[in-house]
Amino acid sequence: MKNKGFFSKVLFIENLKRFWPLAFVGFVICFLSGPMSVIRSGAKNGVRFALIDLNLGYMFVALTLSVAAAVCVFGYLQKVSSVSVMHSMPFSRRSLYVTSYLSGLFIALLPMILTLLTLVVLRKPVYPDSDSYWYLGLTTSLGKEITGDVFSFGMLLRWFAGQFVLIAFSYSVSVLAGIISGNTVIHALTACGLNAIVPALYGLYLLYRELFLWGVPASDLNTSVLLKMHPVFSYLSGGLGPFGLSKPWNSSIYAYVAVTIAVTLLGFLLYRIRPLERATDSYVFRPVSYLITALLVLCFGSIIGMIMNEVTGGYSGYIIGSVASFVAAEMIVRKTTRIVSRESLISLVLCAAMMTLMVGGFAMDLFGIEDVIPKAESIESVNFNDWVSSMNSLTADNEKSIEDIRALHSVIIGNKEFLKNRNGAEGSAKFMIGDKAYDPEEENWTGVKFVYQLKNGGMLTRQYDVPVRMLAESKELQAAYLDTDNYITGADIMRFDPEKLDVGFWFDRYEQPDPNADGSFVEYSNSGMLSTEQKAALIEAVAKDCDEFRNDISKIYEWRTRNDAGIAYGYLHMGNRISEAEYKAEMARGLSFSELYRVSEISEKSDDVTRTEYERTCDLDLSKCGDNVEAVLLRFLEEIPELRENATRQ
Amino acid sequence: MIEVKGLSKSFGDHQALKNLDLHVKTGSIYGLIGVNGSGKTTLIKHITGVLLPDSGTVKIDGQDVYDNISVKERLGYIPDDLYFFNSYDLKGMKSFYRGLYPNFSEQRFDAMVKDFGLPEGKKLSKFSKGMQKQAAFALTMSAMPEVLVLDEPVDGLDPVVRHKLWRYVMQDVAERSATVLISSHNLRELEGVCDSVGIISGGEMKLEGDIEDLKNYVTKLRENRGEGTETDLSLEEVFLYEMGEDPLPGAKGGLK
Repeated sequence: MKNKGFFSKVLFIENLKRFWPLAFVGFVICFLSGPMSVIRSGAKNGVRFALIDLNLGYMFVALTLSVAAAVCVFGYLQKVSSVSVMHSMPFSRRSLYVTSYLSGLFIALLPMILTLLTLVVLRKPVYPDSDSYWYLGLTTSLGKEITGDVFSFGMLLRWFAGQFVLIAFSYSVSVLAGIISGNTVIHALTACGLNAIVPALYGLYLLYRELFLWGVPASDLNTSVLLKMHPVFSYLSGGLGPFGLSKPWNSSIYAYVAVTIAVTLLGFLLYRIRPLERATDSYVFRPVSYLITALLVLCFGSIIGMIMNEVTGGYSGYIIGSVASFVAAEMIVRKTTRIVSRESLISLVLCAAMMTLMVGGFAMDLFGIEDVIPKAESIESVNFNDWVSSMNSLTADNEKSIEDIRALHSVIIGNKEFLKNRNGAEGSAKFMIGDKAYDPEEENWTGVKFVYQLKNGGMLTRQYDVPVRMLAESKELQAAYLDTDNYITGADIMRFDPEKLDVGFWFDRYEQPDPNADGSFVEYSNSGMLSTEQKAALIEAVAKDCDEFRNDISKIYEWRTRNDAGIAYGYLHMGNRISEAEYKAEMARGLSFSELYRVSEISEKSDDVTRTEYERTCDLDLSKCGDNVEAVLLRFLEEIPELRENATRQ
Repeated sequence: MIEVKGLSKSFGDHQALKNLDLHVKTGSIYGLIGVNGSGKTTLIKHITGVLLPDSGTVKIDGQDVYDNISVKERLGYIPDDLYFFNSYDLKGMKSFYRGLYPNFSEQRFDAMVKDFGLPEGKKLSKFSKGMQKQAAFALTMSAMPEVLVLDEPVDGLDPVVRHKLWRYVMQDVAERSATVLISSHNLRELEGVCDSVGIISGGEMKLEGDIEDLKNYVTKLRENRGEGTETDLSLEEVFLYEMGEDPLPGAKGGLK
């Protein structure tokens, strides 16, 4: 007895005989994209194109062949004549599905198999060479050092594994599209659509959030989620390359494999109940027709609505877009221009409900997204910065400082209505936050951004416009600065031991007469100019500044400067462009240029076994230098001829 | 033996088959007749295992046909709407059929192709419609099916080819006791080859039996109704009478 199981060898071979040109064309493209470069440029340089770099030729073949193979091998489902003949032959539905699936997958994979074999033949040991540019690219893109043979058989197999995952995923989705579709054109379009639908819906979700929700930016893109939506994202980011199947991508790979298996099984189950008589319809399952219409309305209705919203404002664009999309979608799905029917009416009701829920839900924040603050225990770290002083961002990375930032975030969300509308309650222009009154018209506003890195690998970003004064007077923000690890470990200026502290002065030497012109410059460091007493005086001045610090620009910088000042101070960095007098004059005016103090402490802890060396360094804007440090520095200029000479030399 | 019991099938709101019964004896030729849209092709697609019944059973030699590979290996089906693989010629299709059907006879295939004068190396898509039908016959009948289901088999064929085809069919019935079910609108030809017929209308089996029995039944019925005393009715007259389109004088039509 032949063909009694899940697989028909006869049909498998027949499919290969029929559709081999697909694989052939695919192989030609792959060959030109990879192995050809090895032949032309040699193994060392060619391996870049063949294995290491993002190869668009491979990706094109993988994606197009996945769709094309599915459309071809399951093409018999889309015509009445072929449906009848094929299903009256000695096949069961399961054997037809399994055999067609496997033969199509083989055709889609064949170019990669042949490319693999070609590369195996061309293979020569290639070791990393620090002088070669591709090696640098390799370490940069993958973030790790390659030490072994990068053109080994093992690496080739890993390359193939990445291609296999990409192709199997895309192909399985394309097959599922064929099982639910009723004709070839719709099959191909649905295959492309289904492959893109999850990232597209995610993008739509982000757009809705940004457009409708306060404080939720589209940049709140969860990369780890996106990477699991389609292998092509991992491929584009290098994750499916020969070196990309290592740890960071493992979870993505597992997700792809799981989805591939699930989609394949779903296709199998749907094939068994597929109403064959509906061949030539657009979609053969009635619920799928509703679903496709809904997806088309959701995508295109939303996009049209968003575009029109930019022009006209309001919600009319969403209504017009949804109606237009619905009519077009129904015509496609029902394959007729006569769309007035009971089914269309049901579809209309479903789509109207869906769009109302989407637009209304986001407009009214029914899902409470605006108010979300991650739970403290789920946060790995949180970065806070504002537009005014973006170079000095704060990273809360311990329990206390994270809680402080969450508290600040809560204050902002608690005053959502005021901050969102820049209006007070009951029509009043002014509003209160805590016991402080704010007048939106009078306040300086700044953007602030919270970026939460979550322990599950996710990310949550929020950004708001708030009065600068609100931040300057925020106890939560002050506490956050003071509670960071960075501040705690580095802030105590008195921890610096003058005996061990090395203070160096850096002077920029412009070779060009014009210091603003482009040109090389040299830095000259001269450490050891300060005596222990002078270093102690500097430390004391910094400590005093920290205590007394006043900054007329904004109090918000006080804590930040304290923080930076505490960490910093080591190298006194002064431009040679200014003389002592100019320096003093600039300082007197409240200088705001960015000459930096750099202070670092280098200490050595040695024992018989280990030797640890660490350096703490941070930058401090000279404009935020306090009176005490300024006085000490000017005194040094007086006291130390070498320093004066270097600082004033042009 | 083909046995259909209580077969029902709906396509959306339309019920194509309603509790339909059909019996075809082994080694006999059964004619399935009915007006357009009466459900003949739907019934055939159930008999050939293409469609899954909503209810009822379709069996060949006591075994369900649907998804039954061993039954389908003994089943040959020539649909009205033919299908061959794109860009295939007869040789390619023969290779496929030979792999699928365990009883495939190359000898018979060669003989039939020669008899029909079909070019083996020419693409089937380049064949005329009649030639494609002959090619389908050559392929299907070379599989030596025990059950042969033909949907409008001689539609569009010239008399010479039709004669040859009927000869092959009769030969299979006579020599191998093949069971044949034919759906056709050509009632005169059916009358010449069929042992029994089934008249299907609106998805229901209206009348089923040996041709002679049906003729006698209709004759007596007409007599009883006072519609005439003509004897020796043709199958076409019986069918038309059943459909209420009796061409005979005085007939009211219908067997109800």
